[in-house]
Amino acid sequence: MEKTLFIQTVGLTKKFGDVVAVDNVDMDVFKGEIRGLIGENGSGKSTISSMISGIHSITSGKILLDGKEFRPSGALDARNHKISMIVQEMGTIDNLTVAENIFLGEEGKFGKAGFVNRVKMNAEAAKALAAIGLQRIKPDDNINAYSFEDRKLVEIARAVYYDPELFIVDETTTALSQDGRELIHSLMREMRDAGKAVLFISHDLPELMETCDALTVLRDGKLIATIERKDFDEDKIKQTMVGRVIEGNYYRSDYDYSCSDEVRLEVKDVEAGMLKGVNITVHAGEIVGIGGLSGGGMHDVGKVMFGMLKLKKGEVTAYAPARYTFKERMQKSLSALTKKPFDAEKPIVPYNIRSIKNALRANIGYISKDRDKETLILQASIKDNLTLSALDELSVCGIITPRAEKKFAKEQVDGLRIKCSSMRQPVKELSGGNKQKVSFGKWIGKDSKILVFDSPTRGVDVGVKTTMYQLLYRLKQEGYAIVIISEELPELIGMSDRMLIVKDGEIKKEFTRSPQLKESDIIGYMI
Amino acid sequence: MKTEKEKRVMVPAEAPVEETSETPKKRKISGADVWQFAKSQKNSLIRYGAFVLVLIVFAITTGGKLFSTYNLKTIVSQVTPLLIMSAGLIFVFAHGGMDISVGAVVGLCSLLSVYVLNDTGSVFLVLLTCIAVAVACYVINGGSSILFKIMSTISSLAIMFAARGIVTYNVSRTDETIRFTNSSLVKMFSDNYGFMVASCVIIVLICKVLFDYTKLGKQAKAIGDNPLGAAQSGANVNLIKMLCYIVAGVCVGIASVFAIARVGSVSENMGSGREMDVLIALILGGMSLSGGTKSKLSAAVIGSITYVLLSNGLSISGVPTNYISLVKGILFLVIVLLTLRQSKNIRELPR
Ligand SMILES: Nc1ncnc2c1ncn2[C@@H]1O[C@H](COP(=O)(O)OP(=O)(O)OP(=O)(O)O)[C@@H](O)[C@H]1O
Ligand SMILES: [Mg+2]
Repeated sequence: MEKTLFIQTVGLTKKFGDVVAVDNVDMDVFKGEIRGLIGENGSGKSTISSMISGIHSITSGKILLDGKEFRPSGALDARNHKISMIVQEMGTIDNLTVAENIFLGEEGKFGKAGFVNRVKMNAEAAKALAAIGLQRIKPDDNINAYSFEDRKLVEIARAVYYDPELFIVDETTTALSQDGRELIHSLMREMRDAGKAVLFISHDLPELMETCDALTVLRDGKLIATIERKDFDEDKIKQTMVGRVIEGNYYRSDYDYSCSDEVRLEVKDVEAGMLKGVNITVHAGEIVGIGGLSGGGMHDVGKVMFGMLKLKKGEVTAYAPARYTFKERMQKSLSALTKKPFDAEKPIVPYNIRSIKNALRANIGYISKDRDKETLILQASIKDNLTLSALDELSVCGIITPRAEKKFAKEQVDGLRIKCSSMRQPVKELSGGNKQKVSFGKWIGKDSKILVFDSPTRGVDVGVKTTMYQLLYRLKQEGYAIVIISEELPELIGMSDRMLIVKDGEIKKEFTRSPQLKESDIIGYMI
Repeated sequence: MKTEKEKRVMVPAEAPVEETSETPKKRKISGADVWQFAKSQKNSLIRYGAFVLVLIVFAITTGGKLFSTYNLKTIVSQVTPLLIMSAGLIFVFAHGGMDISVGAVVGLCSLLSVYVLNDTGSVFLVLLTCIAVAVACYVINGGSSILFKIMSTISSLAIMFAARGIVTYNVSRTDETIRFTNSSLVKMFSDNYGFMVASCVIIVLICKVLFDYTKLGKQAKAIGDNPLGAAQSGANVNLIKMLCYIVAGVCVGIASVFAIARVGSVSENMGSGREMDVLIALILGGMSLSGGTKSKLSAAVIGSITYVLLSNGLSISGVPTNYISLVKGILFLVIVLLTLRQSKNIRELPR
């Protein structure tokens, strides 16, 4: 079959001040193909797709659409040219109803004389949702009532409703669980078969290799290569992507699931949010993985552990060192001033977790799935974000010196390879994966002995993922109690000592670490 | 085990931080770069730009009278209370709060200082009373806004009416003016310019440390940007807000002693309009009134000086008082529009 050219970029460049995010990219996308975009964090994938979909302006170069120059004036303009994009971050707006979000900027369609006909709008939104099988989401509900994944699904419904010729999916699959992923894969395939084009961004190489017809590799804003499906080879792609050979084990390689029998976190008979009678114990030196489908309540487990949900029944207890008394804190400051080590062994005491405040007293670290809203201060600098949760450790007699802050932040920026122009850059300017690294680094640097991470590696590239896994493994060996909540089964299988599958608010199955454990064994219990 | 530890801080072969920081040197500076720079430094530009502009304009229009010894003294005695107030209230604005009660609180403190000084003759007690009363006002202000989850503007409005009410009632009760019977006792606060400058310096230094180098300031600024994120990062949001109000109360209390010492007597309108002065000063200093991590204490310092130079310059250039308010009002509007546009940019589209 002859391929017809659809979108062409010629010398496309985007600069943010001094930073060249996209550098002279010539890319051709054909009709009837799923084109993958791959590259390390901050390589410019989101920026290219944002320019095509009108979210970012173009610094220089041009985009040709069916051979004619196309310079979108905004996202709506691009949508009118049948280009829809699902963005990497939250693309729905708080405090509007689902229907209002779907028809944002198009309310006029349902209006007469400035008034919006809500009944008509809701009916149309219901149609849009039903088209991708989302009957359970109600058009007139406030969007805040829905979880992060559901809101992503609403975005998908919105994008599909406008029947795009070019469908751009930026890093969406990592935000979705198995069922959501399958939905989006099948949508992409349908569009391709109907002769439309799909631009698909992901860090999940197996996923890309399975769904894409061709892969474009970016590095530092430059187009390095476009690889056809017949030439796909995992190691070769990785090497093209980072410019060097990635070595070492991805996940941990041992199958020793023993841990100490000291309990660090105990969820007892808890009923809260979607959870119905959940029991979980996490021990020192143990990694507990929690998996399931969206809407099954797996994310509520993390929220309960961090005191974010009101408990209807049961209790959550953390076992952590007792807090320093005032005198001990003074002694600690003193020894910091005199550069002497300070060691006050504190007995482990129970903390009843009913609120975030309790959780923080017990020194629990938590990364929320909705990191932009809950974990990060977007307007603040990278340094401020990294140090915010560790102010107590950094302060000497109540004073936090810029030097101590810088040292602390630099360790994380270097260790996690956070790509930024300086530590003073606001976090909102970072690429998605790099933001994730900041929220990860924020808790790693601090001495929380209990870590609850919801989707810790979301949107992070392969190289840094390896670093994160190694780090988590080392922390486990040092006796940390770690809970990983993740949509990615390979990650859970690869990292956890014990794996719990949450479905319909209950723990349906428990697996212990073993080399025989396969995804197919688990999926059965999820659906 | 050691090797594992090293991995945690391993530096990648091409350290990205240094790599990009070199690039600017190589590039030529174009107009677009200047514009970009101006946009990123908008707050500092407003802060120092306004200061320099006001200084130059009035140095010329007043023919140097602005810098006469007599006028400099006036400027110092006008700057002192305003600067101290702004330095305290910036803690409230930084965490996303709003205060319009400061004028009435100053009025109330002034009233009580006159009673206390006339009864006891102790300046120390006056200072203590002012601080205690102002802190009490701000604790009620902050406390009710936190407890009942009402907007801080509304709770401060309530305080404003209550405090102003007390002042008006007491003033209208007697036919005599309420004034210091022995105003020489507070001379230090009204005539000692060295003391004024020293007080400003010390208070600014303490506020600077609190604002930039302690948990209080850092968490307050984070709360201003994203309360939920700050809470999840370990900030005790309500406690921090309360502490911010207390800092503001202490500063406003001290400032009111300077304010009353200068005037010597209490009228119904004592202190009124102060809330606007503080707002304009902070805005002139390039502070975004929505608070957040971009807040700088220098906004309070430079802003207050600029503001006083402006009103002082206008009046010695011979502009009638009612026009001065008009000029201030227009200025306020213009700068607020500028900063509001900025806060719209913050809500950039997600990528
Ligand atoms: N508004 C901005 N201001 C300054 N720099 C920016 C801005 N937006 C993006 N950048 C920079 O542009 C570069 C490319 O970012 P982009 O978001 O396109 O990366 P990405 O390939 O999507 O990465 P990820 O896999 O992490 O999502 C990054 O270095 C980022 O820091
Ligand atoms: Mg991206």
